[in-house]
Amino acid sequence: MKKILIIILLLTILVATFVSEGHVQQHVVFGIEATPYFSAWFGFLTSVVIIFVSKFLGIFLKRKEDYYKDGAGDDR
Amino acid sequence: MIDSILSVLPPAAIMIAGGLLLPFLNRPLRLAWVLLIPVLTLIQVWHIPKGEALLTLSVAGFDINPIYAHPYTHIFATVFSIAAFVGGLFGLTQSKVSEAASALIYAGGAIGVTFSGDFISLFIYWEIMAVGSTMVIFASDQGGAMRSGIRYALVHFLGGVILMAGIILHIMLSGDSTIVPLYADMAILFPKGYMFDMNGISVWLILIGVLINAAAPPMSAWLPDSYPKASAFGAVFLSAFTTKTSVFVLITVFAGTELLIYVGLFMIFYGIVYAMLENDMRKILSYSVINQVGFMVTGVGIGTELALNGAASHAFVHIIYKSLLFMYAGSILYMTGKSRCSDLSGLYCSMKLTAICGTIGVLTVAAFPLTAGFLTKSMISSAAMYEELKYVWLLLIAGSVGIYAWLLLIPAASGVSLSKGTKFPWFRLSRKDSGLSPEDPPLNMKLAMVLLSLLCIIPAIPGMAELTIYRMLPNPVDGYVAYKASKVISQSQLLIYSAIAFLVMLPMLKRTKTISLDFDWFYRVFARYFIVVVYTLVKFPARISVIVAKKIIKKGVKIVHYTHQPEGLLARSQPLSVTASWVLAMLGVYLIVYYL
Repeated sequence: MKKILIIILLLTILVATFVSEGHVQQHVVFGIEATPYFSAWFGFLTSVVIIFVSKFLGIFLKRKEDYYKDGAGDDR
Repeated sequence: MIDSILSVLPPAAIMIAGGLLLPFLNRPLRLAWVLLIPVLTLIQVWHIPKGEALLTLSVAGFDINPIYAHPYTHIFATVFSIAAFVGGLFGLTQSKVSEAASALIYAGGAIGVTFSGDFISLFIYWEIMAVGSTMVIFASDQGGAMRSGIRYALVHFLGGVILMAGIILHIMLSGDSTIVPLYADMAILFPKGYMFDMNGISVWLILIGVLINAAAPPMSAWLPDSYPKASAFGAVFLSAFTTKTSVFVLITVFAGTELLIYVGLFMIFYGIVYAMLENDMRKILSYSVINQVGFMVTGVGIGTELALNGAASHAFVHIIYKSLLFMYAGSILYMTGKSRCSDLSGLYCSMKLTAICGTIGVLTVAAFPLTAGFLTKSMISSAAMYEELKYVWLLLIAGSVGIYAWLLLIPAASGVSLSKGTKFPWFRLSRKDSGLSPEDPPLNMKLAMVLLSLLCIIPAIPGMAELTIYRMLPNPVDGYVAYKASKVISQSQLLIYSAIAFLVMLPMLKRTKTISLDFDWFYRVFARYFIVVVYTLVKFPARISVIVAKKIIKKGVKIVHYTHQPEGLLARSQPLSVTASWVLAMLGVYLIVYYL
């Protein structure tokens, strides 16, 4: 039931994207903005990139919660 | 008579005096006082006309104008007063007296900065703000608040000293303490290409001092270090004033400084990446403060009328939704005692109102159409577009995407769903039920959140922006229309598709019980090791030199003792004739030298 709801929601968004694209006179300043469905793919792509970059940096930056604790009675 | 006194009463003085008097009042009076003082301050703020020095004091030959309204003073002072009021309401009965009092002093310092017509009063209010905010952290009931507060104070006093050095140098060189627009770049630091220029140094010192308070890297870690250590109520105040006061000073003094574009862009992505790594809700919010301030700093760097308007109005809206989000996290902390996302999973259905308000706050951060964030954030990116700064514009768009989708997950990760019936499917992905079912917080906390939620939405009703936020801006915003069909659609697409990306990748975003290293590692860990290493290295030579020095001093004392003891060469009494002949000889020598 839930899965069907999600699929319906996604389909609605997709349809809305297709419909809205043609109806709007886009105010284009930069070339990249003129690519079809710019906002949609740009939003999706940057989110994916951000997730991967932060995941990657997390390998080096993450520490245990008591990292700063050592004897100094710090943090929690 | 009263009128003339009132006309030269600095709004900041009302706030600071109110804070100082607060501890001496009894409880019922105190509750009224906390709410009354910000209202009085707000009234006084709007009694002060723009661009007039109402009160000029002459101190040590310098003119001091503590009541001078810059173009952007009113919008900042207004939102500071609102934040003080709503913050006071949020912690009305729960917050400690010391916390409420220092919060008022802190707010007073921030408002004082916006009304400073000269660098000297700016610096004084700047330091009042630093002291007030440190006291707010000290008043916290969270573990580690004391140490964190000391680190916070150290960073801010360092920033204050740098700012002061810059101001003193500036006043020495120009002979005038009035706040003037400055421009900082490499050319001003090295006008001849090889040597430091004093004027350049003063400008750069002022810029660095201000940027430290704006949480610009590398001195950015103080913010996520200290704000999550404040109490549920103190954090609301902290999130409102310090960084935004810096944004005000940047707008007033450093508008159009190109460097700020890059600093701002760095802050945007630094904020996102760290927010993605963190587990503590309030730490995530702290990093998102840096992210949002990054937008404002970029706007200041672009420096056109539209960009400055965008920066100022975004600061206005930012204070409102960020206070709201810190209240949301604070309510959960207050009711459950927990703040880590991983501890709060599966906490649904019981805090309905809190969840609704939190969602409104998140949508406003995201600049969703029909929220106030949409009106203001798009001004900055539009300004980048009009200036044809292609990559700045792309990065601004990209930066606004990530944080939104991540913040949407805060309610998800903490599992506070809108209600039992409409549990979003992705909430089920959060781990086991934590077994908590807290209720909504007490009435005053709920009221504060509802008030801020309304402030997030009302200006965004088409047509209301001109009556509210845009009206306070000095530069006319006639040419700018937020609700264009193309803008609404592209912004919605951007946000919806980035949300889809986050949902698809949700398994990758599982919270881990970790913290992340930040720039504060350098002064919390590296500095300690550095001192240990230096100590071990110099221990032996130092001891030897101490021994040698002791011997030398002993010898020196012996010689002095020999010459100055009662019968010593220089201390024993001489007959008058000997003295007279010495004087004669000296005068003779002098005579000869003179003639030579």
